[in-house]
Amino acid sequence: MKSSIAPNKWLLSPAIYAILPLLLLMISCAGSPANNPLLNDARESYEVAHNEESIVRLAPVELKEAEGALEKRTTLWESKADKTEVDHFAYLAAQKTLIARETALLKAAEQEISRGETERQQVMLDVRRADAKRSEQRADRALEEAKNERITATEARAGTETARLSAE
Amino acid sequence: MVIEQAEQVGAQEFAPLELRDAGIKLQQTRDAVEDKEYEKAIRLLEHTRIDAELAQVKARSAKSQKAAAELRESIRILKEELEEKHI
Repeated sequence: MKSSIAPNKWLLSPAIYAILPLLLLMISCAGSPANNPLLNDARESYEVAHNEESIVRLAPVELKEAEGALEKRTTLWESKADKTEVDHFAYLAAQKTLIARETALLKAAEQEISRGETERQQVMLDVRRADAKRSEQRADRALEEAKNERITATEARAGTETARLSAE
Repeated sequence: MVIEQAEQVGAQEFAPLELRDAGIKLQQTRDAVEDKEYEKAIRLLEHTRIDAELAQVKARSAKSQKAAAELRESIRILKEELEEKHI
């Protein structure tokens, strides 16, 4: 019983009357190709992708394929072809647009990897150079210390010698 | 087969939804063939192919983006190491 009451309630709610004109408008507009929702989705996602510089630059072939499917779909729609056929090309256009988008991301990542490899090699070289410089400095310091020690020792020996001589 | 190619590049991990869609379409294609609805089967086969193609490129893109991020991180660590050596 409950379930039969619910729709009545829903029909009586003011909300339905508020959106009814909108629904009617949507249905009436569906007749022209420019306003068919499914066609618009494919067209819109294509337009968005077409306006993205990276997609145009990195996935031109895939974008062209998406455009081809979109045109085919529009032609079919205009020649009043079977809805299934129109929807088919709308689907292909939408998927091809996504493929173009992912291809652009893929290419961008691949380019970053190739640039990054070069940079990493350079930084690794810098690290090795810094290591070499450090050990060189350490060796110099050790040599310096050894020299100083030798001088001190010589001086000490000289001191002892002088003391011995003066004692004699 | 495109689905297998997608699987080979890691679509199961990186593009599971697209791969599943392709699998469903493939089954629908088989059903259409069985029902002798050949035109429908051809359409569905095209859907299967494009879904699998999307799964493949999405998986490759996700993997490359991951590799790029790892590389960025390794460069950052190396640069930090270099900073410390200069101090």
